[in-house]
Amino acid sequence: MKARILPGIFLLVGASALAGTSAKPLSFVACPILQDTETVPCWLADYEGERYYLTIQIDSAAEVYPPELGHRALIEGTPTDERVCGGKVLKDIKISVLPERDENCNTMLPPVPEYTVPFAPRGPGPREKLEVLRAKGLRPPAGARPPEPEKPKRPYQEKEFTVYYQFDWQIATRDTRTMTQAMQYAKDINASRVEITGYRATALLSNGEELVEKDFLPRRRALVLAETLAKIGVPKSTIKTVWIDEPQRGSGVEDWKLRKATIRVIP
Amino acid sequence: MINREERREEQRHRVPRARGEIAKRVSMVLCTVLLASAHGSETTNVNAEDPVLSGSPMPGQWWEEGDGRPMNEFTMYPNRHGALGVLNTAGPVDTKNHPFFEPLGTNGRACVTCHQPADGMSLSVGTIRERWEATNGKDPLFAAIDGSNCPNLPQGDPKSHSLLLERGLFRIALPWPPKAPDGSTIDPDFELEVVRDPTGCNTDPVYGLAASGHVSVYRRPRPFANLKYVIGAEGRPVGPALFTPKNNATPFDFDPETGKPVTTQIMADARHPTLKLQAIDAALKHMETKKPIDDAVAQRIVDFGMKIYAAQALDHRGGSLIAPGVPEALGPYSLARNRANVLADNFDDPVFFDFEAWKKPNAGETPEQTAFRQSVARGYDLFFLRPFWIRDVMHINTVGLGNPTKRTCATCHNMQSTGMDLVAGWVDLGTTNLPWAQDPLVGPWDDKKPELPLFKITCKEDRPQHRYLGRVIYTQDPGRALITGKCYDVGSIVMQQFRGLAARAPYFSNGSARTLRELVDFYDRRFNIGYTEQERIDLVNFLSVL
Repeated sequence: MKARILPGIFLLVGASALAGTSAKPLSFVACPILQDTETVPCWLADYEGERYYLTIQIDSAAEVYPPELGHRALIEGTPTDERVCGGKVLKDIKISVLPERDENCNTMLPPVPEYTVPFAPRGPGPREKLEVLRAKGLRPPAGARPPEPEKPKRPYQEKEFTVYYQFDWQIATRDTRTMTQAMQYAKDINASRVEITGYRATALLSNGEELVEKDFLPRRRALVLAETLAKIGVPKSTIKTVWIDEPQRGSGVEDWKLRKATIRVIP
Repeated sequence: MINREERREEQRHRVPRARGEIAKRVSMVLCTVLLASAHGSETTNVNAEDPVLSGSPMPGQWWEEGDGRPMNEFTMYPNRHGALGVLNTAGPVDTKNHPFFEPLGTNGRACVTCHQPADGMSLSVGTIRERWEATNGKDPLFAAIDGSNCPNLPQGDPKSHSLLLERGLFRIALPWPPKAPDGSTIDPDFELEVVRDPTGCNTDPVYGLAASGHVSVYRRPRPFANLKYVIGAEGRPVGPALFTPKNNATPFDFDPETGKPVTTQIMADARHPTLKLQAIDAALKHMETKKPIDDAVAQRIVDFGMKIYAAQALDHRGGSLIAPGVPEALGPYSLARNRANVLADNFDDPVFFDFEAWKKPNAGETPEQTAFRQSVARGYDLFFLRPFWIRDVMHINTVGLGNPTKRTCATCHNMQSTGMDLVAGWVDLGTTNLPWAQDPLVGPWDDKKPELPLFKITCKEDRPQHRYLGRVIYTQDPGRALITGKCYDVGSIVMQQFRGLAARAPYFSNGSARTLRELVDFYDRRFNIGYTEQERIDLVNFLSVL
């Protein structure tokens, strides 16, 4: 579903936004700003005198989830020349809603005629009829189904699955599919051991500051993931949890890949 | 506890006049219902003295434990708005020796005690009060274990049953810390303290939290009807997914018998994965059976419930809700014939289909009927189409919509025919958590006192906090968090179905909305929607016919 919605957005946002850009990735912490439109709201953030476009409200199938008022966000992405709702579009954006409350983050801007989001796959009310969405290319044709995954063949191989986290989070909300795949593989090969390793990381911000995830996260990430895998069917007796307390150092480029836990499934 | 025959005898002597009056009133109401059915133009006879009675059946329709009379395939039960229809798709039922209707435990209660047909298979405050008056508080309904504010209070005193008599709330005692399905103790994300204890039960030397390891919260009974929508088609959620898409990568619970995921929609906190386990637990806790009821008995109760459909079937102003040509969503027959598990926040499958037929006058309608039906249709449009800012709702704003999100009522109430949430529908709307929970501010010049307990929740430093209330939360009922031990579940309550509302006030799990109007007003206040007076009336009318 993620892949189904994204092309529609980017097609209409403008191919130029995604066309080759040599800009450096940005990483900053800011209060998100809600810019309402006549349909769904845009989400923006300010950094060093520039306003950036983060995403729009879609639904739970969206590739990028909007941030939240009441919380600051860590924003990582690469600026482009395209603008939406007055903000520069950030390519390959990752948004982490920082867990702690921040009541200062409370800006809602009213709609203005010049900001519209005609590419929105969904408005503020009920979803349009599927035939309408299919005609717009926002849904796959009726009956389209992803192929069934192949069953593993002997001799079974050790396989590693990785789930990723928002900054300072201990629940990998977007990677349930990976967890399901790991569980299924462990069951298919009757795994002797499922080793879960929790990590934490730093994020190197564009202002040179280093943001460090909390020290209890590696353990908590491992334990929460183990509990989840056990609940969906991985035998508890095969699960082993380990964690690496030392933070993985970010470089300011794709630091989100360091905020992770791995699931090693061993035949 | 006196036995059933003794109790009946006592009632015969105690309240002969009341019974006679009730019988006379019922006859009058039945006449009214029949007349209204024929003409559809009677005015609503809403009790003006106490608003909560506007959502109660007319008196005298109590189904006593072990009553023995057959239950018809379809019965109309008069209420102040018109009449509720209860349909049993299995046909007439001989209730004699039926485990749903017979007392199973030691306190004289049966399932039907708290799941009365006239009350939409739930229980209204009007009916509760009627039973108090009719039996002088001796009805098994008022059993000390949970029909009083605390079991060791003087049981003959109505003050000891104030939460049941005023708000329709039963005491639910849950273990703290919580237990996992395998019986192991869950390490909770938070500390729980009793801040205020107006019932005395959470600090009681016997039943209190410290003494018993149980926390007492107070909740409404849910309708035992339209259950295919509660447990999902084939008893499982939509699709093959193991995870609910909304709750922090939380897997669904699983049916221990089949190993399959379940909808996690049963009860206010989804603590039981299946209706069968719920029936067994209800027999132990509410009927005080000495041992768990047999599987076969529990299954018979479930099989009965799965065939029961309840919805308003007649409105005094709108006319019949089951006649040909009425909007598809209305009446219990609609619930029986339509599909469960339909995601309906969309124009392919709208939540309550459409009310187009009622937007324009129809032949044979009186002007009052037309006006009422148009009001209902406008109310549905408000529900389905009117956006507002939904903000700070755990398990709604947290599922990728952003906070706030600009959406409509149907975003959350998205299950076709019932308005429940299709997936694991527990959310923190604010009905039990401060600052939104109804909680009278007490001044020195009045004698109003808080009625419900208040708990302080302090989330541990290394655990995820409640996204919108932070690490310290004050709540009247931690809801789902009493089952999971998760901070982010504090105050989350499973959404209820919208059906049969005219027969089972008050509303919300803690009975904090006495009327449908108060329910609408809560949403308006909570989300700063700004409904006009006419819009509020339209929404109330819409809800009252479901």
